[in-house]
Amino acid sequence: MIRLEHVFKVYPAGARPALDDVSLAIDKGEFVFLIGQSGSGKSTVLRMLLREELPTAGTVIVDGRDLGKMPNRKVPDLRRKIGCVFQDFRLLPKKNVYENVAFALEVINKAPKAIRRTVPEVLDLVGLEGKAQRMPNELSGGEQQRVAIARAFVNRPLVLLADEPTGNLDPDTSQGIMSLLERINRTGTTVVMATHDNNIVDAMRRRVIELEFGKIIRDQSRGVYGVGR
Amino acid sequence: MRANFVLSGVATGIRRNVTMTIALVLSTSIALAFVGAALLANTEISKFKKQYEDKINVSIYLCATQFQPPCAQKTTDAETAALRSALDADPQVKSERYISEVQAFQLGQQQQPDVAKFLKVGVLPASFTVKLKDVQKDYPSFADKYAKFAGVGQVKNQIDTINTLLNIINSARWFSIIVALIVLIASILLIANTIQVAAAQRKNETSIMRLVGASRWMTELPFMLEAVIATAFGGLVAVFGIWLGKHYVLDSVFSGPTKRGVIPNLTINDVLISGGTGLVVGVILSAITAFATLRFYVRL
Repeated sequence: MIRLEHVFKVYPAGARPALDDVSLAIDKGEFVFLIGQSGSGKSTVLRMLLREELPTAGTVIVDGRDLGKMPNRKVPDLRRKIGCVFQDFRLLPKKNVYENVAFALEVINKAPKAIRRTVPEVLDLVGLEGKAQRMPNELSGGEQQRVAIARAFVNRPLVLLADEPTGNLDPDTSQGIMSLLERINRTGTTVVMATHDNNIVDAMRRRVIELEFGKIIRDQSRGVYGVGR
Repeated sequence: MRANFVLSGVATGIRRNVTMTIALVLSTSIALAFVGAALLANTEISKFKKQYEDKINVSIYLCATQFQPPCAQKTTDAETAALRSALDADPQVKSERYISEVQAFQLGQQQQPDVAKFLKVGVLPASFTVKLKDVQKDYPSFADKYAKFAGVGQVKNQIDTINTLLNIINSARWFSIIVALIVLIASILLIANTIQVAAAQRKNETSIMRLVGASRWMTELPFMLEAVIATAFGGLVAVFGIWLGKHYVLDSVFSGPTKRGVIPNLTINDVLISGGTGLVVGVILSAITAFATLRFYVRL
């Protein structure tokens, strides 16, 4: 599903490469944690998978397609197969919950009938039934993140990328979000999550890829956050 | 592409950016008014030339019975006949008509009744009224040749008067073109600026659209349509402005000459064609500017 082969990423002003000869492979349906300190390269990997960045060298393959060779006009097609969730939720403040989720379908030209059917289903899945008319500022942090996850998942993507989705949430709320992500993963969606949250990583015992200074220093199938913790 | 979704995006954008939209409408209306005015001036020049080129005559005045310098004596019949033969054989001449002293006296009484009592036969000279094939090109050489002919008092034409009027209209046309170009450039820059500001205001929305896989057109089209709609409004205001200008200048200030047919009048069709052309040019330019700005300066 996802392959990085000898990927380097060097920024013009950077003292060292953001990614330094990174190679990894993620199968369909896997749940993978990307961990590491700030600046280790986690977000750079996620941006590469979204084709927000191109590698300076190496190959990035998602769903069988080499992103480096992909023409720009094909990038929207790729992104329809990838859902994204961020630490800051990135909801549209002037749209309610329903409209925020529906937005992801409207902009890709889905029929209104399909939108009216799909959005309530996804809101139920993420535990927001009955809150479709609420505005984002009327929701808790956890609920806002659920809306973001609903928007990311509403188009049934192959891959869900989560960049520190629990970064702004308390531990209990974070647990709820992780349960939701696990539920989504069980539907067959590959989940790649960058995180600093050692409790979550340790509790879930999934594959852990650790980055340090742009290099992969650990790739463990049932890993914990810190070796020996 | 869902039209409702795009149009609601356009409406939201215009609402959020209303002051810049108004500025855009005003600047494009001024620019397109000058574009239309230049086109209208062009139409007026063409009508003017068409109306007068056929009518511009050259008059070769002979020496009258009551002759004055540069005449030394009255033109003889032989000299008149020689002049007529020369004119008939001249390839520059389309037609000629002889007006005798008696006919000149009668015409003078009709055209200038105020001084008719002072006129008598022999005061106004006989003349040849000549129509040249290309008066603009041939008059100088023609006048030079026939001014020296025996029996010729002077050679005159109406072209100087016509040319003066044509030059005035031509100057107005060039003034309009120059002002139109300057204001068009300002409008293009304003469109680019408005789009960049609008894109910055809607960065959240457009970044989410990009992330969920909206096509480039879906993301860019609302911005382009905002620019095009504002320009179209400006174009309509310009058409009204051109009509107002035509009404004030031709129908009021120059109402006498236009009613007498001295200056050709412009119809509402002329106004609509000139203004409409300006509107179309403006809309196309704004679409191109918006597209170029979005592709090269704004990351959506």
